[in-house]
Amino acid sequence: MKLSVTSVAKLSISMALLHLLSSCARFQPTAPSMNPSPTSEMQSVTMKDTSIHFDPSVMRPGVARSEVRQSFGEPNSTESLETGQTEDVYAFYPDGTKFVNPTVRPRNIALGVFTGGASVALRQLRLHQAESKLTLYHVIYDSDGNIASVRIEPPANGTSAEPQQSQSPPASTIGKSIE
Amino acid sequence: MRALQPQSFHRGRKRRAGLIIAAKRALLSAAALAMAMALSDAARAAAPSSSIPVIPVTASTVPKSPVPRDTNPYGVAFVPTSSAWKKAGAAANPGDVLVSNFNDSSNEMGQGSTIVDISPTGTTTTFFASPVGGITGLDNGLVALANGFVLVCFIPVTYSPTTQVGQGGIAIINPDGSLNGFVADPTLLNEPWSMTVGDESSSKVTLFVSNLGGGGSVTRVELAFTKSGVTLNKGKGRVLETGFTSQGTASDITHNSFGGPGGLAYNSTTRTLYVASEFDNEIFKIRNALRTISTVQNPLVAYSDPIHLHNPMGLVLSPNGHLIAANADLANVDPDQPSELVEFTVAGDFFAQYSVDTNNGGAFGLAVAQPTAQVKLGAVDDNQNNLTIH
Repeated sequence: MKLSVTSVAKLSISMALLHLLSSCARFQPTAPSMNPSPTSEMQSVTMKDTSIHFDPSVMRPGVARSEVRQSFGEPNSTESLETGQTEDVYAFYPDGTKFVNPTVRPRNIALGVFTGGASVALRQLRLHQAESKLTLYHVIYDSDGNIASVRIEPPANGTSAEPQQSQSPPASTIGKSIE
Repeated sequence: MRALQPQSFHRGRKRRAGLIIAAKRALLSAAALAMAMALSDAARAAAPSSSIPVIPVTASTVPKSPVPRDTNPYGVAFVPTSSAWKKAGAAANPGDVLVSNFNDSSNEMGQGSTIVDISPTGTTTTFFASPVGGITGLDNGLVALANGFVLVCFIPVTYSPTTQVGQGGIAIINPDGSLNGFVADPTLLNEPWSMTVGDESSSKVTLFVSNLGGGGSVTRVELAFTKSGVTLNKGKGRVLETGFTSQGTASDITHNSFGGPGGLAYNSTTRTLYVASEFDNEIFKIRNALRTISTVQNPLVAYSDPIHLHNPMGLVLSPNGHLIAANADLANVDPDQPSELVEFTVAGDFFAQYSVDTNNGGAFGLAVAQPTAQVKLGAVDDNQNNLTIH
């Protein structure tokens, strides 16, 4: 039986799509990388970097991006906005430790196809946000590389609890408490 | 033929008739009284438990939490009667007054990080306590929008290792009192000291902001509210005026002479923005402030009155069309007119004055609202750390 060129092409595309979908179905963000160091292996398993702790004083207007990176390390996600500005996203657990992105395998890049344009990293943050009660900080820098705005995205369950910090007010003091 | 009856009979009949009428009147009066009492009881039963008092209410602006407690109330804003503030989860009710604190418990300027909510009956609760270290020095720029967000200007001051005044910005607070984020810009928001709303809808707001930085400027700023957050539309921003006398440096903090262009009041009918300039000791006006695309070089003087103005800081447009300024008493101090609120017409004629404290330096922030037929005025006394709702 002979297959036409068109049929072969269609078959190839179908197989590629099937492979793509099956890769997404087997998405395992917590799988350890192939050659991990002890630290990165631990972080990959726990998805926590306990050496970095949320510091509210870093989130100030006009603070340089380099200073933010010095305090919080590499952002969990970085995007270029339509305005030409850069947005870094940092994710912190309720205990104030930094969220570590799961290892991104080549097959997971296919996720980007289904995320409506959002980066894979941001998509992964969102996947973990509700489960891990992450607070996301969207930090936008101006053309000089200084903080122009910060938007706080609380955990998806609606709680507005901030990550723990040394000088933070107790959560019970925020909101309507009769005195 | 009807027999003639003696006069006494007629008198007796008249007396009886009079008695009957009197009795009827008494019964009617009693019924009316009973009905009035019943209606009164019904009215009392129908009145909400938080009915607004007629006499002025004074309440502390010091939050009881977090500890240590902030002091020095500056910004004042009434919570609007919009549906967004009636939803479950809102941390303030329509008709409440919000007050921002500029100083911390040690009275260090630029360290306050709380907003309190004061009910019409004078109950103080903590509405907002900043979880972000950079959002301190909540100042006179405080507005509660109809869409449920609260905006507050802040100028952070740090004291270690040396005194430094930060650029500041506008913090955006959710209706539940949690922090949504902040926006900043070195040109449009440079030590923002006060602000008022020029135009607002559910999706955007145009603000006028007075800044101690940028040579003492007044700017127009637009914020957009989208599902992904609140953003500053930088392209829509304008510097409306610079050159107001400004004292916004670390040295001014040290010498307790921190200030500059302050209170703003916008008349949407005449499209005129009024600016209280503390150290110029005058009230200026900028025409077509919502639409102009050029920087105004010479704003007109709306009110100049060295007798009654003593560093005007707070400024509001009252529903009667008059302007009311709050004197900060930093210079041109008159011991006989301490902590005065001064009411004057937009034509520049003095109208009335009222002292909020027996000592100088108590008047600062104020706001007016007319939730019902009655106009309400909220004014702080930062000598006493309280607010009185008149």
